[in-house]
Amino acid sequence: MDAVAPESIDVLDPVTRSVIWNKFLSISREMSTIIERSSQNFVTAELHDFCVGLFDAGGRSIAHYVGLPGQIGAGSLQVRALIDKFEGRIEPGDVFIMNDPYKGFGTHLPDITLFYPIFFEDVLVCYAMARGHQEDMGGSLPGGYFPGAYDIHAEGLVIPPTRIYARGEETPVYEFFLNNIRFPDGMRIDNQAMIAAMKVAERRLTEMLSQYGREPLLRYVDDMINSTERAVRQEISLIPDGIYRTEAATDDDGTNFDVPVWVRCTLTVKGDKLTFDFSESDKQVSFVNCPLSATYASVYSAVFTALSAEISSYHNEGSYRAIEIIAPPGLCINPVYPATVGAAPISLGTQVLECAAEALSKAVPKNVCAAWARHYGCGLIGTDPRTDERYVFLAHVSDGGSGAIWGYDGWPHISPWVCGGELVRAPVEMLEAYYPWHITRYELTTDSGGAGTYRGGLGIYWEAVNRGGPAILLTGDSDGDVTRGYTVLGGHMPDFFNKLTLTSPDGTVNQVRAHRQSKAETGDVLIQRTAGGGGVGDPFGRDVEAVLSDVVNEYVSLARAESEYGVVIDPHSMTVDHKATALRRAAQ
Amino acid sequence: MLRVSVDIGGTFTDMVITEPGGSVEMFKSPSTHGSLSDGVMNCLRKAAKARNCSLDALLAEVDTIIHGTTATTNALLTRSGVKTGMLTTKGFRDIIELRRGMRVGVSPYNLKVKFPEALVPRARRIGIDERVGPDGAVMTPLDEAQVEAAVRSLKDQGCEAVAICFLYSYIRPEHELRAAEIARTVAPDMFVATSYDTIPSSREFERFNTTVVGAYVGAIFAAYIDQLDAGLRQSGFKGHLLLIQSNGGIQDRDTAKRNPVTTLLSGPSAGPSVGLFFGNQYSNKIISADMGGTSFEAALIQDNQILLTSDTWLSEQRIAAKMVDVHSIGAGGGSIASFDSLDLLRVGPKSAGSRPGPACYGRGGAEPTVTDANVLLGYIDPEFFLGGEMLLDRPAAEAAMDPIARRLDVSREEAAFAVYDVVNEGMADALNERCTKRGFDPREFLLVAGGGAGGLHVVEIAKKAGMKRVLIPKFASAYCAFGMQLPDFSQDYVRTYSRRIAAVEFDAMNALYEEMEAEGRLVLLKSGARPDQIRFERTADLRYVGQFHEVEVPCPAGEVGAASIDAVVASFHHKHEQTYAFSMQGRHVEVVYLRVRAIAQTPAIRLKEIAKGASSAVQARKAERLCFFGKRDGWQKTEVYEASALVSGNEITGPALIEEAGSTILVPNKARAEIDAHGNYLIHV
Repeated sequence: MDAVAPESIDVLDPVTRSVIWNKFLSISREMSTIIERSSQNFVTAELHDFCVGLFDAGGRSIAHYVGLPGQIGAGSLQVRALIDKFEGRIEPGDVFIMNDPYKGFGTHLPDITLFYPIFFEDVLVCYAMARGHQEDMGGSLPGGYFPGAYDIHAEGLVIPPTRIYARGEETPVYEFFLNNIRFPDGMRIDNQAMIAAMKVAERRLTEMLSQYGREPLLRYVDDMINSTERAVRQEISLIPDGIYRTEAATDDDGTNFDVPVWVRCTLTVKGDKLTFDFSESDKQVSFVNCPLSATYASVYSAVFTALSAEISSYHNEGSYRAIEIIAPPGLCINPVYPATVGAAPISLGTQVLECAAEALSKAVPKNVCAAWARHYGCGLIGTDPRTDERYVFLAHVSDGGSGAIWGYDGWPHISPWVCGGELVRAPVEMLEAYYPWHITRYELTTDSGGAGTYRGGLGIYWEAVNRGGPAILLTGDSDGDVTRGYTVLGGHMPDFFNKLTLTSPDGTVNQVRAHRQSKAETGDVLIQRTAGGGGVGDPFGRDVEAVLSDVVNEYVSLARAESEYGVVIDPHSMTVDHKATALRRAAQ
Repeated sequence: MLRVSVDIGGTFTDMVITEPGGSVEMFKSPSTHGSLSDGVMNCLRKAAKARNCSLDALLAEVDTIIHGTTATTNALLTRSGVKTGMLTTKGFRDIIELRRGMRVGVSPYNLKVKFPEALVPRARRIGIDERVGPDGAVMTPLDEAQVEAAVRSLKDQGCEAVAICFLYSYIRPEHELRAAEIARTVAPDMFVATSYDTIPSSREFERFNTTVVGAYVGAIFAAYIDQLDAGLRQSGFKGHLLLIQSNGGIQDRDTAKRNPVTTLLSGPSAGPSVGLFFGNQYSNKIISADMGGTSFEAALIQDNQILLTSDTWLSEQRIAAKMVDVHSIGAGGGSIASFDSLDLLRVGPKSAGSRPGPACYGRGGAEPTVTDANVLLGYIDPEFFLGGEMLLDRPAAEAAMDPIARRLDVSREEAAFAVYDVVNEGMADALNERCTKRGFDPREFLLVAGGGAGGLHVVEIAKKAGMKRVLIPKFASAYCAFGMQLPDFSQDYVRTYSRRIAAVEFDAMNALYEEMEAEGRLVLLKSGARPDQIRFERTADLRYVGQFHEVEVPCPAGEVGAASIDAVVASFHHKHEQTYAFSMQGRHVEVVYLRVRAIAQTPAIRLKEIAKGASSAVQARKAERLCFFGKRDGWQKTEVYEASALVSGNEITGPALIEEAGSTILVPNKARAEIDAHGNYLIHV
């Protein structure tokens, strides 16, 4: 490999620039592959609830690429917390762990973040990061998604930035930590997988550093960050200046039942800068509080999806610079110790994202999607009679659809938006083998997508019978029994909300609302029915053939085709009555 | 007797003809897009002409034609398969549309993407009352009357194929098999595919979708292959028509018809065999790469094994059958260079294809491509493209490249070199990612490469990936067609057997292995193999208890017992460590799948040695021209050699170009090429 002589890089070489940039993205992909393929926990390996990243020695994000948007957005805050605490004492071979939302900019406690410093010629150059949602983090119930905890300590172990490997040797605190969670063997494998991924990043980066030299490489990193900032600012400058106000609520906080919690946002677009001010949001409550890192991540997600697709894989620190976020401490979007945060980053991360995106949609409606279905997927904790082992079932199998965006219908079953469609659902044939639940229905629901010129993605009907003993039912990560998001350009939301019911063998039906803890007895039938995403544009403007196809495929009912879309279809021949349709549409 | 292989590419149809004695001939003819088999016949006519005989006379000599078809791949890519229906467990008819909630290969920040529709629309997916549980017990018996009514309804709607996909059929296939029987009775002309026969492994979305893909392309394949076969037989062909399948092996027509999903990527799957055939004498770790007009396709070979995968996505459809792990990126001679809003120079994946093609083709292409760059750098002689069959338009290449030069503020040749360099880096990164995925270090690998565009790029790619040696086979420009001459018959079988290692029952494992072997033996015998040619390779997929992805390791042949299980577990720990950089010796291990590959060896090709000579290649020097090698090295005098005049033992030191009829090889500065006994180029990077 030819080294570029340091003196020759006063002017950056455009080819080297492309090459280095793509190499960083390639490294992120490699890290992600290793974690996915070798993790043991369902949530990480099968559902892909994880992310990776690379940061420079000052904590700037270099490559913001792979993983759940809700998790990755705030890596820079985390690495800076690590630097603040350990600067000058970080050695090669160290591995750091953290999940503390207050001292370590974590999200909720099960999201464990590892950092691994990468040295070149004895100088700290980069940090690799890997973060995964773990099955358990201690606390009074497994899984983390339970409302009503007394304080954050009741939600689980709260870990500030902590060294678990020192110069490649395990430190005693690691065992102490593993001893205080429920599935230590699994956690160890998952951490191994994440460490292995970060070591691959180290190998690749070392190759790059040897090839280009440290100083030159860092200069290219500066350039990457600056170029991204320029491109993002350029796009923002095309957004009409103005002040846009929005608000969004979650059903409640799981302690004060039926009292919605509001996030409020004022977006100021001025020139090439966006300011999102959340100062008017509700005060901090319990459980649904959104730690600052998740608030940042959600705003970034909203902005990035409204920018051009061309740069969608290339965001880094530079992208954040044009975005100011005002989130005063003590509010639900920046809670302070000892507030509980179990539902983060889903609630209120979703509401922050919806507020930010809806505000943008008022300025550039054709670049922003309608709200996605709120997250819906309960947790079940019990014992499997086949093995007598404890299980924690968090499968996210009932999520609804995404919101439409101008020109494109929404997709079914890919919610929630804070996960950006990166979550993967578990196979029925694996769930039934792992958990004592017999699944009897798992299908799309007719008329569950919001109507519009572009239709929202459909929601799900998921039904299963408890074949195990009594199980604890947690609806902590669900939302949207009574609240929901926004639409764009006159599109509609679906006309029903998410709903979870338990039917006991004697036929009694009980609805279990979001953010509750309940019980599923043996033989109980659990039904989760989710709404779809919002529509975009007037439904009467939807292409008639598209409506016919929706009816033929039972995405939309005949009645709905007429009432919401103004398309009259003959039920016998299944053809459009164009005359009646024209009349119906003209009468609007 | 002659053995003919045919690869139908997007631009050219390549044909290779071998004789037992070792002669190898290559022919190329433009692909015919209307009726693909016409392209094959054109190539055969060309071959007959070269041999001064009639087509009939040539065909009478041919005892085997091996074919790599793009018929099914194209049907999938262009969504032009047959109207297909689906019968599935009631309550689960949307599994193939739910797609496990995935968005594949799209940034979460890019929402302007059309939903990839299922191959069978919802209206033609019919739920049937039946249910088997995870333990294999029947919970709801199959409602046969519903099956019959459903098939009739699909038939009335004009469906030509039906996929039958029930939950847990990999444990208890009876319901699917019975439903298939009913379907065949009710609609004898319909193509019927069951998920059990397609791929009897767990995970319903993967199994169902694979089955649906097979049903969707099955009739297309049958029609295509029957037409080709009839055409060949009319012209006097009396031998066997064989097909390359997606696992890299060959199979006969009837076997392929029964499981048409195995015909996907049938052409590219033959490429790695070339890597194995030529590379084996130099290394046991090989990367095979094929760079054509629109794509760069790479595959890994370790210890004589072409590595396979069951993780394929093709045209947004999940296919979980075992396929050669060919990694394809959009980088080829036709790849277009452009700038994005970050001012980054990108090359590909957009391609000028063969129409209009690169600007220098003079067919109206105006955007700068890799081939245009190669012309401007002096690597391609505009007068000697495809051996002079096609004149290239250098001024058009210049005009196309100038905007790049202006944007970069460099000279035209520097801009061309930037395009050359960026596309090479992309391919080197792809090789790195491939290797990491398997836990390998690319620096330990030999790169065997070919394809029309490969010769000009591979040495640079190897250098960037830290690889030391490159082998460019003599038949590089018909890489896959030559590869089709090489594979054995092979069929892959899988059974699901989920147990912790401590709970494994030897009898049950033996029974499953023997069942698969019996099935494989039967299929291979039907394909014409002799019993003594048949052998089996057993493997098992293991994981640590609680993990979700398995690692496939060999299982010793013969009766399964405690010793063989110990060996399997030991290989598992080892391979896990190698692939993922860690293993956990104390942790419980479980087996998930048992697999058998049934193989019938085909006669090995023995190539004739070419004439020997001294190290100096002076006899083959035909010209000298200036080539550009980047700003630092600038323009350099570059010797040009005529490939057909080279003899074994010749050595060529870079910078040099070797011009073959179908491709040109660039030996860069400091690199050295040796001509081996068969006329292949071993290049020391």
